[in-house]
Amino acid sequence: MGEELTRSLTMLAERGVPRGAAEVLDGARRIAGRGSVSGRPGWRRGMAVAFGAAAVVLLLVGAVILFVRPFSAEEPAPIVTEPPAVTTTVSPGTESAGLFNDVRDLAFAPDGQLWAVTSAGLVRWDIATSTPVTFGEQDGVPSSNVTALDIAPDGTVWIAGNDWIGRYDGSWQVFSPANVPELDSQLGFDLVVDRNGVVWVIEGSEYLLRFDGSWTAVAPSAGERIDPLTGGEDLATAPDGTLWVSTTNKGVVAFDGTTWQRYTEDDGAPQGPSNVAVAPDGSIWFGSGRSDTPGRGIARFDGSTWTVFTVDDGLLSNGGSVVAAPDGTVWVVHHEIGPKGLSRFDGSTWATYPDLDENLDEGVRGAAAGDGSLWLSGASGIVGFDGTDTTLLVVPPELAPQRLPAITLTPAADQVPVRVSTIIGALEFTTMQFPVGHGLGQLAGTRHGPVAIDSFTTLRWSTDGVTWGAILPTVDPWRITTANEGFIVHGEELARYAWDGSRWTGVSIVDLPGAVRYIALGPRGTVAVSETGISFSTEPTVYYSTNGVSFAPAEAGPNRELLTTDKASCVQSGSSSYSEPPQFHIGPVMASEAGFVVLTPAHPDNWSRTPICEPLLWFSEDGNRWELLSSQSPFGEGAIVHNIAEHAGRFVAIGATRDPEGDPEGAVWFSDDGVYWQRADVELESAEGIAGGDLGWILTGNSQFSASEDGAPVGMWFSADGATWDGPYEAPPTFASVYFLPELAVGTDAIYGVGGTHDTLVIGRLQE
Amino acid sequence: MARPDVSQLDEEARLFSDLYGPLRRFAAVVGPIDVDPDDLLQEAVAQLLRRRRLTELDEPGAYIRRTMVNLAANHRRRFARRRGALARFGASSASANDVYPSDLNDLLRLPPPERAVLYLCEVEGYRYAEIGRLLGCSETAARKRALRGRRRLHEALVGEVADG
Repeated sequence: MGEELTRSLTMLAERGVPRGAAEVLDGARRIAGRGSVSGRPGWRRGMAVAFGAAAVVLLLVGAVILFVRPFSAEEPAPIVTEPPAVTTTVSPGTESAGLFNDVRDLAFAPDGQLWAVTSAGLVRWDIATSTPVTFGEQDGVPSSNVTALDIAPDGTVWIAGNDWIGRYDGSWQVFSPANVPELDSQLGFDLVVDRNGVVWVIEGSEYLLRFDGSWTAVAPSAGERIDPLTGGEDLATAPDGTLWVSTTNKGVVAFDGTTWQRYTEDDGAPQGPSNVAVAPDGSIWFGSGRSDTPGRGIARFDGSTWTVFTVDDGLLSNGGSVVAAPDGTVWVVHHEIGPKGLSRFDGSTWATYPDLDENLDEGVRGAAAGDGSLWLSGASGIVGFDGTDTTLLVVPPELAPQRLPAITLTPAADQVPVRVSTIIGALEFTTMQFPVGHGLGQLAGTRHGPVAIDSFTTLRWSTDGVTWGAILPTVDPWRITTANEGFIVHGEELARYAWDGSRWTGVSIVDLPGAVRYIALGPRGTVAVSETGISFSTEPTVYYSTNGVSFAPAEAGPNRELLTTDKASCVQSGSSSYSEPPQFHIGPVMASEAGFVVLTPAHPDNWSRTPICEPLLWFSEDGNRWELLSSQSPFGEGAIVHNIAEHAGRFVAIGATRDPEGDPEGAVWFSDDGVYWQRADVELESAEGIAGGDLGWILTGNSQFSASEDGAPVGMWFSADGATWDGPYEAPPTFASVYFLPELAVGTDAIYGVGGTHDTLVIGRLQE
Repeated sequence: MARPDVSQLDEEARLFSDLYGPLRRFAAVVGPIDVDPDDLLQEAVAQLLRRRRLTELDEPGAYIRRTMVNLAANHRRRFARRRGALARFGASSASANDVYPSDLNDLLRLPPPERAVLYLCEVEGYRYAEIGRLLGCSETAARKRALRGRRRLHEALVGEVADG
């Protein structure tokens, strides 16, 4: 798959006809309102026009718009990083649950002690007693951001960060660009110490740094300028002093101090070795990171001959990383391709260890002890394996930070606070800007403030919407669903979070096959809809649970064979679905006193997740056996449903249907059981966002307000009960979005909406 | 921020010209198939320019890559009216939704972050530590994304073989 993948990715990268740097930059400057094109950017012009028109309308309906702060396009948005706000997660059965075991490199010292570097410093273990000693910045470690480690034969510890190298022999010596100008790369690098104590560092793709008392930059000579270091992945030194470099896709390179030699597939070397290791007998071993095809596998070079070991020779898989032990044992860690597990070579034969401890699952760096045992960095610390027993070394809490930096929002430079009076009180909306590089995706409201998944899939929480702490997830967070007093994060795993009075505490509840797209908790249990396969696009499965912990697939779930209606011609309105193969869709799911309800499209070929075309209702009392309630959609012929929100037992659905003339119009429905739906009396062109909470309900969409120049929704409606709506009011400018729907959340005293390109947050606070 | 003078703009243009090729290829990989790569790149650069100059960042390429991944990941909920908006921004109205071989379509079903890691690793030849730095995640996270992406592709290919 490796070559095909590379070829396909390359083809993909070359798609389309490049417009050219100048045109793209000029377009970006026009959008941003900076640079060569003068005047306000188009969308701001549009918003200004819409805003002016809206002000007149709002005056007519008695609303008040306050222009509190003048717009200043020249004023930069400050970037503020607050001290960490912390919360932890708890995962039953894992001693180190919640810790961020980011072990980046590990190595054994001559005295047998194991050293490791994490994102927070350095740790040394006495393996016999599993006793750790930690070294942080307070102990002289040059920086907490350590990326590489090796130990010299005399026990000197060498570590490296992004642009510095530290040497520790009881006291610290630090090399940085200030005293070693060549250390100017901003890229990570590997570091290795040979048996003579000479240190080698790979610096980007340009040159190597060599330290034998002083630093020397070593670059290929002009005649050998074949970019030998491009893609340099790993370093190892042979007993004769030769330095070996594995590259990502250009074979391996050897440097004997004078001559560079590249070995490629033509020589029998692997094309893209994942790493390199040197065995005590001087043979060089190369891992295989990218090929499961026959003939590719783990390579060994004895100085003259290349040998490739594959599954035919007894390996568990052809792909894996190699670790050479001092006793001659060679381990292969299979963690990326094919079956996971280990293979061990004793000099003549391979032994395999499939289905090992899950802590070995994500091992990315390894080291071998003098007795031949293998030690790997894993998800829960460092895991040792001697062929029989597994030992877990948990990273001490001070080096396994439970903290990620909080982010603090600042008022957007071009914000114009908007005050509206509605049936749920007077709200003042302000627009806040995320720090550069941050932003929120999924958003949900709770009684203790909003929670969200940010751009880097970190789960975040806030009590005021301004400062956002990080929750270290035990799951790969994908979506948030509020439930009871807390919320559930679901994706490839599930975790339920509860408020303990000062912070959120999460508990992993189950690992269902695939990814959970929808979940609902009710008095009768829990129902989850999980999807598997690429992009979760295969047939969904309904699971149910009576205890919220153990789930079983529904015995008789919604079944496409029971759908007999003709393919409907559905309303085209509002946000569209993205293209996927037509398949059966199940969801959203609702839980009520009576049981559970899920939606499916009326016809299987009308597959799309959002909107759902002409939804039909399926009901189950227990989540196990489901029945189709009717072959007629309660939302009307050709109607679509974009989204359903729930709060305090009330469900509100938004979508579109056709007016008496057959034209599309936005629609809002509400229900107390998910079965009987009533149409709310709201006139709107299209409905885009819906959320409910203790404060009330908010609906966004297009109204009689003119759409902004970039087509963003400009109307807000408010409701105390989800049935009777007040509006429209013009939405704050940053609800405007070129691409995205606003993510909405409602708390007890505020409404939150992610807008723009998800780098702003509009907060509507309840005023006295 | 003061309005930049001509020399600053020239410097910015030179910098972007150097970055353009790799960034555009990256956009083509991580972006939705129905979005022109130049449009995605343009929007990411615009987002940056609203708050900083290109020349102010230590690693503008890394920042723009992260932004494009975020934009692409969130793009699933785009507006149907997006094309009109892009046209108003002067973007190409030509469809980027060409017909591609099935293996590319398999790739396109991967989430953008996974596609990004696989591309940077397989084609651009970056190490996982470097990829983590470029995309704003840890080395472990980059490896996990690559692992997950390969696993999903593997499942798809195996499934295709099984399905005949």
